[in-house]
This record gives sequence, structure tokens and C-alpha cells, in this order.
Amino acid sequence: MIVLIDPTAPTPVFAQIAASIAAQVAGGTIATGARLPAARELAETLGVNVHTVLRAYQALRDEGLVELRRGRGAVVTARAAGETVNEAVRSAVTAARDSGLTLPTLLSLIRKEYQQ
Amino acid sequence: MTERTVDHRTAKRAALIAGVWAPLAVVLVGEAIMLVVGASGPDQLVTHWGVDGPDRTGPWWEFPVTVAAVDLPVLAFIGILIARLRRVAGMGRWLAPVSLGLTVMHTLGLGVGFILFNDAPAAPGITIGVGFAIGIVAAVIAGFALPHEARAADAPPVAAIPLERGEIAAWSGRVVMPGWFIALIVTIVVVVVVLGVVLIVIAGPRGALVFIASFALLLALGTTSDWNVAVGPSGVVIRSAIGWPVMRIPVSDIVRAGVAEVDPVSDFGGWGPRWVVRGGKGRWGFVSRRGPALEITRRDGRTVVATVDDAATAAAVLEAYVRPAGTGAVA
Repeated sequence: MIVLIDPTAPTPVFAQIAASIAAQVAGGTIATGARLPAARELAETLGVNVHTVLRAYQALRDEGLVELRRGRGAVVTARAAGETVNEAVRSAVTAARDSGLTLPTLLSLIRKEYQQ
Repeated sequence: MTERTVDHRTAKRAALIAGVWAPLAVVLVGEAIMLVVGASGPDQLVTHWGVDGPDRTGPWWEFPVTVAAVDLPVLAFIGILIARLRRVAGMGRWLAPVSLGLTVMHTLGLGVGFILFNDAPAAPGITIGVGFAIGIVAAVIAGFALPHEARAADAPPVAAIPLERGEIAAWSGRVVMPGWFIALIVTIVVVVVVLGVVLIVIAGPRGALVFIASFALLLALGTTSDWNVAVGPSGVVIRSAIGWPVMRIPVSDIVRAGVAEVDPVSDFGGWGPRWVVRGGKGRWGFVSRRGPALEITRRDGRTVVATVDDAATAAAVLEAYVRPAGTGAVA
């Protein structure tokens, strides 16, 4: 997991941290069930206040991307991964329509890819 | 000294011949000798020697059965280890000579020798000594005779991720030991605890030592099976999931970050936190699997390796602070 922030940018740092992580959850780089680093450790690495990271994790929880569990930290939820697939399906359907592919053709493409 | 180097297939075939097939032949020939000699000799043989001489007798077939029961599973296990090696080098290369040596020692020293010279007064000392000496010689010969696998080419340098002015990048990942490794250690601990109960019943409070030992094992497992790796502007922190122990490598002490292909057995002799010497320099490994790993090279040449997922990104982030883009510095 990589987090990129720019403290000199107008966007609050906590929002930058949350956006960085959310993008990787959506892209599948961070898998369902993965544990985010402890807020204290990520804060130390980035050189920011621990509350900034906690606020970012809370924002991710409010988006439904992670669950905050006492003692286990922030865990990426299954819902987050489901969203990724939904998004990918939507874009695949759009692309198929744009190229004039029929539904059976699209389904057979998906089946072939899935069975690889 | 020039070493004969061969490709991976040849090196692995040689290691399998020296480490599995040759020892298997030794065991089979030993078994044949024991069966022929044992069946034609007395039914009862001395099977154990104490300080004052023979103290136990048993049927002659105890020897061939023991050798087969110990050596065949061990050879199968070593065969799997050798077959799975990605590179036959370092400690992985030593699997075959050690396998051959131990098999010869066991078959000759504790099997064939005991049956052939069972009634000789000095039987145990001499047969064990001769068997072990032959085993050591066999291992050393195999160690020299085995070809060396050509060294894998160094991984190409990793380009630093481009950072805008003021931008800060942090990467974090984990090294988690595989389930079978943890299951193995937990099994050992359970066995030790059961033994402890038995010992307390038999030997009284002294059996409690076993509990302390198993507790220490569990503690070691807890502190070494899950590591967090954090890469950022100040360097690298590798910390056990329970918070201790911690290894900190400041960015000023790092000259290069890259991706290394790791083979746990060949490169580190196993899994978990490991320390080996390579090319005269210390090399720490946090090893949970084979494959690509983050490799950090310090100023004095010592290296640290961690088998994190997406090691390339970790190395790229670290390179951004070791060798900021645009400085053009090359180590």
C-alpha cells in the first residue's frame, strides 16, 4: 500500500490519505480483509499527527470501505471489493455496447477470462 | 578459485542424484546386507549399549526396520526440498551432501555395522565411529563434486517514483509467515506441552521446565511470524506485529533499494527472520515465501531483505528518498 500526500496542497491531509487508500481499494491493489497499517505507524512514516491518520481512517469507514475494530485496526471490507467488481462490470457493459457486442458475446468473453 | 557453473536443470539433477538417489541406493544396499546377514544369524542381538556394555537385546530385524523407518521419510522430505529449490545455491546446495552424509552415517554406523559386529566387545564405539567417518567423507566429497549453479543476474535497478515538490510518499506492507509454517510450530508446541504433562506425572516438578520451553517457543512464534514493513522519507522500519522487536534503517544509511528474487532455503536456510553472511557481509532476511522481495543495501554493504507483496513499489518509494529523481546520482 502506498500513500501519497502533499502537505502544501489546499486539500486537507486527512482527505489526501483517505483518497490515496480508497483509490487502491477500488483498484484492487488492497484486497478485502487486508489490514491497514496501524494509525500510529503510518503517522510516524508520513511525519504527520496520528489524529490526521485516524481521521482519514474514519472517513474511509464512513464511506464503507473499511471497518474499524478495536484491537484489529482498520480492515478493508468485503463491500469495498464488491464495489470494485460492480464498477468493472458497468464499464465492461458500456464498452461492449459501444463496440456493438451482444450480451451472449460479452458473457462468453467474461466466461473465458474467468476460466483462465 | 574458478568454479564450474552449470544451468539450473543440471544443478538440480546433480543435487537430486547426490541427495536422494545415491543415499537411497546406500539405504537399499544396507537393507539387503542387514536382511541377509541378520536372517542367517542369531534371532536375538544386542540392540542397546549402556556405559557398562550391552544392556538390552532384541530381534535382529529391529536394525533394518529402524533404518528404513527413519531414512526413507527423511529422504522423501529432502527430495521435496531439493525439487522445490528455485536455485541450487548457498544452503540449498548443502542439502544434498548433508542428506548423503547422514544417510551413510545412519545406515552404516547404526544399522549394518551393528549387525555385522554385534558380538564384538567394542561394537558400538567402533561401528559408530567408522560409520560416521565414512558419512562425513561422503558428504565432503559430494560437497566438492557438486557443480555450482550460475549466479542469477542482479535485478535491474528500480527507478524512483516521481515526487512533486512537497509531496510525501509512504509505503507499507507485511511479511506474514505461511499457514503451514505456523501450523508446524504450533504442532511442535502442543507436542512439547503433552510431553510436559507426561513428564510432570513421571518426574514431578522438573517437568515444568518443558512448559517454560513451550511458552518461550510460542513467544518466539508470536514475535517473528508477522512483520510490518514501513518505507517513508526517514527510511525503513521493520517491526514485529506485536511492536517488538524493531529494526530501523535511516535513509542516510541506505545506498540502494531494489528487488531481489528470494529462495528461502537456498538464500536463508529457511523461513522467518534470518541472518546469513553473503559475500562477507551480513544479510538480514524477513522471509515468508519465495519470489520477489524488497532488498535494502546499506553504506557498509550489509543488506536487509523482506518478502513483501509489491516489492517493486516499496523499492521505488525508498529510491525516491535515497536518490531523489533529478539528482542523477548513481551508486
